[in-house]
Amino acid sequence: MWNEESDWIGSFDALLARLAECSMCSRRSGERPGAAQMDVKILDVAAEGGYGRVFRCLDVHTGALVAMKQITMVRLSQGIPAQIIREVSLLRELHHANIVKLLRVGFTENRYVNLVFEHLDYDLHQFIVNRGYPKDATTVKSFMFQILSAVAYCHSRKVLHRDLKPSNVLINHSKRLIKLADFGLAREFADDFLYTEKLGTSWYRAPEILCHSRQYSTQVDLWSVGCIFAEMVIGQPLFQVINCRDELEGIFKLLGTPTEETWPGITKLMPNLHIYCSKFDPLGLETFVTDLEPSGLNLLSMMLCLDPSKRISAEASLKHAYFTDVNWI
Amino acid sequence: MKISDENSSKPINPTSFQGGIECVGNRKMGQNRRALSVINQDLVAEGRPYPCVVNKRALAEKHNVCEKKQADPGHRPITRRFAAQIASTQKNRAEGTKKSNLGNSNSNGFGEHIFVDEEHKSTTDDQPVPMSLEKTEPMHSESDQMEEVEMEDIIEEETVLDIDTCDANNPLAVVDYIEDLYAHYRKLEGTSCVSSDYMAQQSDINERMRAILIDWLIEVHDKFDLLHETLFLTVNLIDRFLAKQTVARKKLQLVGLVAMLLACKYEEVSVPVVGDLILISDKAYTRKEVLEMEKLMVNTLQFNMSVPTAYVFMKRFLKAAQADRKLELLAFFLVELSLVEYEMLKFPPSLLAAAAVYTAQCTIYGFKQWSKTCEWHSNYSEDQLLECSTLMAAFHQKAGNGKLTGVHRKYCSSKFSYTAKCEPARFLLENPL
Repeated sequence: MWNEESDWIGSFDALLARLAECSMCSRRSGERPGAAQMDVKILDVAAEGGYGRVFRCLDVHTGALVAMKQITMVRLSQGIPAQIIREVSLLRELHHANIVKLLRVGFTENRYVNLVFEHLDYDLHQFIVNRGYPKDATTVKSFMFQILSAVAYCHSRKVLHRDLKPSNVLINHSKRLIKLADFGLAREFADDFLYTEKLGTSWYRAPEILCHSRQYSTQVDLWSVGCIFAEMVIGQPLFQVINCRDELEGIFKLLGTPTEETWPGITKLMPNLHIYCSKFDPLGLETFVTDLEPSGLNLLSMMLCLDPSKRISAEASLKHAYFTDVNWI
Repeated sequence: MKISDENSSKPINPTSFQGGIECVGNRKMGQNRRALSVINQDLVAEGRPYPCVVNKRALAEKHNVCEKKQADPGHRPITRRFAAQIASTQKNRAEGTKKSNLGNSNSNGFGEHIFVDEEHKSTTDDQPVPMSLEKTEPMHSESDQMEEVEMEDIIEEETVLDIDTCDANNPLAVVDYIEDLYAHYRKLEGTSCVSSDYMAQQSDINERMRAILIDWLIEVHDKFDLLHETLFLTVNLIDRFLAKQTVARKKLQLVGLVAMLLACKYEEVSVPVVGDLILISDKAYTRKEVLEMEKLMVNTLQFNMSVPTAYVFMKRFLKAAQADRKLELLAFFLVELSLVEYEMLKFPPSLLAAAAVYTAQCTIYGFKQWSKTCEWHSNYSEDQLLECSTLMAAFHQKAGNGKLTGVHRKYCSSKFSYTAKCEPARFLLENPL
């Protein structure tokens, strides 16, 4: 299966090269600040987003491929964004085979923060879109095991990722290796703490966050992992498939509208729940996630559990029957 | 509040404590013939008889008890010496008074505390059981008022409580990982500490200036209503930066402000704006200076802000001590006094935290108190804490005097339950090392 991939990777690289040549991305060296100071030579633009850009570069010392994430500091008057401080600080302390390695950090021209990472071939979102999703169960299982290993490690270090989604899951093609990336929303958590509710990509956001809870924990990451799991199996975001006005309604359509019995504390968290949406009977995961073995479906249902206190942990997930025959090395 | 030496025969006045949740588990340091799981040891004032009755119950779940905690001075094990101390406070009391109290189960003052006796599990609930204090041959000279009390039938060795059982269903407590996590913190704290003589390389600033800065920042931290961990991280960043960079006197306050800004960005949900920090410095610095210093600091510290400070250890050790609000506030008061003192940099954060909890217990209970549970979870014996603890008691004693009274003022407020007003543990200073 992995051999078939090489053609696609080649075409993807060519696409990036063409993208880099287009007028929008083509910039004079003066407009690509930081390359010299960061000891890298920019090859092309790998991605562009609201935060800034990611360049594919060569390390001038080793000749190795690296990725340089260049973040534009928008509110210059407030100095270095908290997200960058957290991301860099946490990545310096998180050492795990399934977490992307941060190589160096630097500032340029007062406007940019440059983070140089190890290079990976593509992300899980690109993999799903370009490959028509990982069709074989072995790959799904291997990817899931690695994602959960990284998440369990983060949680053991009291770190919440808070923005798990396919585009933040990177893939090393040759080693069949998964690495978590983008810890910009990550933070260390305390056991009595109120956090911000404005985070995470909505399709992967846990129901307690969508219900505006500010006291949440490790379970928010497990919900996101469950969404990624389903997406790998069906080839598109699970809650995009369901016809609904917003994510919360989609969740309730799929899993049923919660009650005090099924989710103790929901009425306190969302007093206007009965006004907000009608009472849905659960459609059931098996309605949408069809090509998944029973043990996988069982694990998925434990991850996509509405009540956070009943949601499975990353550590427990790794011991689930679904992974008895996992082989990811 | 009277403070007495552990070995003196003076009475120890009772202290009122707020309730808390108590977890009693099954991890033991030795084989007990009888396990005293929880026993109230309120020592009453002179003139009132010491109650010799406890409410005894069979436990449904022997290994995992969660009870409401009442007045309980640190779960102190009844040792021979402690029992002798109890006995000596009652030396001249009439036998009849004692008997009348034994017969009255309502006057025991023990409330709903649990006494676990593994040899008598079948005893009915709330049945009063006399706990007589036998007199034996005195071990000391005739002039010594202390009396030996045979306690071997009651307890041989204190158990180590499992402090995490109660949090098994709390995902925020990461119970599955907690031991590994703190082992990791202990390993990491060595790299995040600074040399206790770094100030020698600074030409324009000294220990006194550092103390003034931190004392002021503690007040700023309080006024901004920031998280505990933000303060501890701020001080850590200041020291690590000053250990690597020579700083001019006029820039020291800027270093402090920027350290607090960075700590806020790492820890807080809502971060104070740069303009506010400039205002509290009385506009001593420009925005440009603040932002340049921020860059210099993060580069110097290599963005390393995920460091274990005394705060993370305080949380763990206070849990091990089964601390109530009073003990917690006092421990934090003592550790914040220590943040100001440059000489305390010679102690790692974990030792600082353990010593603060130990000193707070000594202060409240009036005797040296460090349970096996505290020793187990902190990895520090009482002897290892004494040097640091003696210094803390000294800081407590002089906290309200002198020019640096920021911490004292903070803890003299109603917000902190007037904690600073409690008497220091002077007996810790009587026999300095």
